[in-house]
Amino acid sequence: MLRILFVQKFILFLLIGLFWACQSSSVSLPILGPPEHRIQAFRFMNQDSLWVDNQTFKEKIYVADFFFTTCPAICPIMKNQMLRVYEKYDSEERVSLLSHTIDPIYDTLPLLRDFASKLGVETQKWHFVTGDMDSIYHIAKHSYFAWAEADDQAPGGYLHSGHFILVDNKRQIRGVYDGTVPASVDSLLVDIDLLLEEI
Amino acid sequence: MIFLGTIREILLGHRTFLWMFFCLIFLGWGLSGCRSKESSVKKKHVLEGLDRRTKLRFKSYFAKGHVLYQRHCSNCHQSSGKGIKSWIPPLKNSDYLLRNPKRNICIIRYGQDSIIRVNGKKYDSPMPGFPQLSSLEIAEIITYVQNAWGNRGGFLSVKEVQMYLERDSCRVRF
Ligand code: HEC
Repeated sequence: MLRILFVQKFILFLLIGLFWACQSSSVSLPILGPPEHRIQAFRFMNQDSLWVDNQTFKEKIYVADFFFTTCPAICPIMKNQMLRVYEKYDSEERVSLLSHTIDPIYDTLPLLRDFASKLGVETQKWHFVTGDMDSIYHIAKHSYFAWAEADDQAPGGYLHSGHFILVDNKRQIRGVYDGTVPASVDSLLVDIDLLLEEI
Repeated sequence: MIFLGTIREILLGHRTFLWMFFCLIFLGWGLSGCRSKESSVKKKHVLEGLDRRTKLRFKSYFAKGHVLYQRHCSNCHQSSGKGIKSWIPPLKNSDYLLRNPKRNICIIRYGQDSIIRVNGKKYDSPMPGFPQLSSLEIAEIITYVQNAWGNRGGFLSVKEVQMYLERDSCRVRF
């Protein structure tokens, strides 16, 4: 009899412990980068010839990446993974996507527009933006800590990191993911859910 | 008598085990039925009428083509062969792919940037060429994509690829 009671208590404690552990593990996402780091002010133009700037994402969180439409190697994988994000948050207005072209000379507005329509994408959610080449490379490097540069030895002529950067409504970086690895994008999807609870 | 008795005892005492045993056998039988049916249908279709040597070649082409496909093509056309929306055309069940095996040789070697129709849908994005792939590798990839995902395109030999490329037939527009 005593023994059974003991086992019961033990199980009870175990359950309480588990509950507590679960509760405390639902922490918020870390804020990445040096202290006080924010995505700098920007102004680019999207596939519908509309300006996109920080105001566009004022009450939203967004996922940023860098690509070019003729990229033969990793971009198709990235775009396919970004489509997963797009499709999951189809009806969630607080989530946006921002893809910067790193080949603004070739990727003109009509081309970006064509590209978006080939992916079956609506503007309000997924912006394909272009702008002054230096501004794009500068914001990539200094705001998003992403790597992008022209390189005649890379496939397609540009070298860039295939990262997805998760930015919150205060322009802070909350997560960095490898857009070429489905498992990494799995955790992006989980993190977006977490971040949505916060804003 | 004693012997039979013990057997009876075992059978009765381990009834659950007995049931599980029978279920397992039944399940295994059912599953093996599924598998052999599926693969025999496929083999009959694609390999029918080929001699033993060609059959062996087919198998080795297909296996190596699979690896090459994953490395060079799956980022765009996907491992599933389904492509990406209206951007990258599918290879699975593609009428364009299966209609003209020779044309695929040129597409892989030189790339293609034209407006095409695949299963009634328009595609016009550029595909880069793969000049670094040998004739054998091209034959292996084509044999793979022509027969993966339920495609029934059959075998393409390295001889055919070589002859085709040597005659410079890719200049003819399709
Ligand atoms: C950078 C992305 C990309 C890569 C890598 C790529 N393709 Fe393509 N592929 C395309 C696009 C885009 C088209 C449509 C071309 C057009 O419109 O002329 C296409 C068309 C095709 C077609 C004809 C259309 C169809 O759907 O049947 C075949 C066959 C094909 N590709 C096979 C391959 C094979 C085999 C490989 C690997 C050696 C490969 N592709 C690698 C993007 C790619």
